[in-house]
Amino acid sequence: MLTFTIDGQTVQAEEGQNLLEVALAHGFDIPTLCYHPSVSAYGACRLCLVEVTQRGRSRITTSCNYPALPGISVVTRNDRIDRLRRLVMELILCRDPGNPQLQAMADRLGVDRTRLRFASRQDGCILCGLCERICRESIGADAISFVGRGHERRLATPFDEPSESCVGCLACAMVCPTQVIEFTQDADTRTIWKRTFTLVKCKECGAVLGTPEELALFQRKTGLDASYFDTCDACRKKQTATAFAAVTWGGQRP
Amino acid sequence: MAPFSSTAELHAYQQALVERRDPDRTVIAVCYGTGCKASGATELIDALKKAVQEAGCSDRVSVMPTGCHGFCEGAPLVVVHPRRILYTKVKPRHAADIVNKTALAGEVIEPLLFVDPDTGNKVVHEGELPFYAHQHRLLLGRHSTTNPEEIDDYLANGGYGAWARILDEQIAPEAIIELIKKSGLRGRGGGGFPAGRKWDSCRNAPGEVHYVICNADEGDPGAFMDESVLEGNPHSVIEGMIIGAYAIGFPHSRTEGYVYIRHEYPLARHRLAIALDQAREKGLLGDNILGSGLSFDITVNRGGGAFVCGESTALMASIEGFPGEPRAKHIHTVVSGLYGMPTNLNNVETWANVPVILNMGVQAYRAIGTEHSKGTKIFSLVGKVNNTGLVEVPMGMTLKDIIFQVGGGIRNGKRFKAVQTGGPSGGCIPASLIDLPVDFDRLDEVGSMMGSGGMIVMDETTCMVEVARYFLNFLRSESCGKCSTCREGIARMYDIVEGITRGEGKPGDVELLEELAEVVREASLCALGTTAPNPVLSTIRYFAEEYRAHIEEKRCPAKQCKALITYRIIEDRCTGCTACAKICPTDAITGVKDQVHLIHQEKCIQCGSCYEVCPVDAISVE
Repeated sequence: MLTFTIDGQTVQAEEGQNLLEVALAHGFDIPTLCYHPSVSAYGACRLCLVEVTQRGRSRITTSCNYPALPGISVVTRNDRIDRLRRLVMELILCRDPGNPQLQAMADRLGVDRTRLRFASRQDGCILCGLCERICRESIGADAISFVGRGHERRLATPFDEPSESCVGCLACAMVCPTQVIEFTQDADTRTIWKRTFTLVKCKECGAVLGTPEELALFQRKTGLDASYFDTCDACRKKQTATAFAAVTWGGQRP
Repeated sequence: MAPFSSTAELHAYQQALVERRDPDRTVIAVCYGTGCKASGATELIDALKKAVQEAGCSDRVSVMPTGCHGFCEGAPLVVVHPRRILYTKVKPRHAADIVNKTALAGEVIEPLLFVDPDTGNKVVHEGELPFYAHQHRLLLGRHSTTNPEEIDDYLANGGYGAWARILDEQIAPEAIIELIKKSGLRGRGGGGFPAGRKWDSCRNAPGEVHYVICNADEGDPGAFMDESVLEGNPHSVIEGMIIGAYAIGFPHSRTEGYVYIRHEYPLARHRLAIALDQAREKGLLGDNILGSGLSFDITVNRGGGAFVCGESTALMASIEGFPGEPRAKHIHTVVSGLYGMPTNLNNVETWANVPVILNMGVQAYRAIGTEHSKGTKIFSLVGKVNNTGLVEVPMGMTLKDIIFQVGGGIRNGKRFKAVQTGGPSGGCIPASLIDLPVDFDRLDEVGSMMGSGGMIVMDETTCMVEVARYFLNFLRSESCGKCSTCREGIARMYDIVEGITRGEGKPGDVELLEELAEVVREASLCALGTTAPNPVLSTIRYFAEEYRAHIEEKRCPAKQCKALITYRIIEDRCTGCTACAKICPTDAITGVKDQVHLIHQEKCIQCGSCYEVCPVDAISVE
């Protein structure tokens, strides 16, 4: 455990934690669009700026990729930080001024509009990279990645073709802070990143379980028996409860 | 021959080389750097070799391709040794004369001599060229006498002697670091971090491997210092890296070396590969080098053309096979760099300085330069200057001396306006600061930086707003795109500046640029972002009047921004020669021969061709 201060309050953290997670855990309010606790910090959106003072020297830095260090003092808000965050928000807003999620964040920071020219491609993607990280780090599929650099950077599957390694799990779409990763789903199929998957259904109730690729990947990762993936969570729970009741009470509820 | 297994064998070989070599042998050295190659040096070398053959004098005269001599203005360059007679702008048709008259009969061919434009005097010997006379060529001095593809040339000149002396005198690795610290050597790649301190931190960081990297990803527009050093003297870099590996990783760790070099430097890559092979053959790279116990080899890693890969963490990510994106350096690369191991990265010029320092001695090296910037610095001097080329001057030389003494002043008698230093993220320094001594700290103070040593000279016809637009355009494409501030910030600053050059500037634009500059500088991760606003900030700082003229008066004082200028024919002067009408690419000029012509503004694209071609200066530009 190590000790430092955030806005004058003494806090404790584990070695290896970053400032943002410690601050959020202690109830401090720091805006961010590219941070998610289940994947590594990346530092793309630059909204989580704080001022860190270490050995008498202060600097503005992003808190998501700054390590918690003993003895430092962190300021999460002052006039300068607020002003810089608003400018960062204006820049991000250029990517898609009409996006509701971005507007909500802009409202929170007191930015009512951007004074800048809008980006040439306004698809709502702010290039935070959460989709890419969740796909690579959490899912392990590595189906999408950044392409190009500078103002032409974007996210794509290899060669913009339907990705062979995509398992159609939708994690990318779910984690997207601006909710702009498109997918469609009907009774039997799901389409994402230009690839269409058939859907596997619960043998008991017919609820959608996922794609065969997704289930196979999770089976491989968890080492669970294949039959585990035959039924949905609710039916499995019901089965377990029934079996439990049979053993305990001979099938009769007391 | 077998690889050297001890310094004694190396010394004996060097001794034999020196004895075998005739210092008075006639050697026709042809600069075969990229610049001279582009100016026809390949054909020239072929013609000279053929002429030697035809004259039947190959036993007495040899033709030697070398690395860049520096005086690119005179490309292709030929130096005839041993008298060091210098010929400039040599064509293959001069080959026979050079062999028969100069090489064999000792005659000087007058028409091939360089004429000093200031004095009208002809320069016969290389050393007398004003361009070289004011330089201090510690690193470049050997380029015109060394064949970079022959390790024997380097060895005969005492090459690998600094490394051998370390072993002969059993100088401890820690002592080498102390020497480099004392020498005051600062990294030549941009930041100017003290090299000795970096080596020390890396040595003290725990790890089973210590990596030593040479950054040869020189990407600044107009810069070719590192390219030229690798093309002209690759062994000096290799020797520096061997000494670095010894100082940083011996004996407690394993060491491995990398050179990360641009794909766009084919000649430098070629020569480096040859030099590495030759060094391995001689036992100067590999296992147990010269019996020292140090095992070290160097892998060449080709860059894919991204400017940002010159940034140390992006470079290391790229070597590892990941996209070239910088990461936060809260843990320094000397502690956790390539593959998470302690890694010491210096650029080409820094490594080439290492054997030089050890050979000449720390005291002598410290005597060159200023209080906090020691030694020399290589600049690529380009733009509107008479002598473009590669210059090596002591730190602290004033801009005035570099531009007017070494560079020979401004082209076509124009007025000096500004000099841009430090590459795309450097700044523009105005004529009023021409007496500024050039070193790391003084350049920072005036809002520019040393960078890797690009120096672009601008005259009165350069529009400073356009300069800012040019560099922003470069940076918006070369930002890796990770940080929103760098990616969007530079792109939006570009939008504003580009609008100003098109006459669409609005009141408040300059203030908005300054706001954006602050957030890009303060909130971006790596040095590309934090320095990207420099071209804008420095031009606003020193040339505010030009921004004002563009925005408020819709006028470009340098008459460069096409949307803000109009070409007209001065009726009193026009003789109706039809030259302008003939050259106009859009048929915007009409008129009858011998009568006054007219430019139709709606068709004119402001290309300036009429202005250039008019023999009687009858075209005005406003």
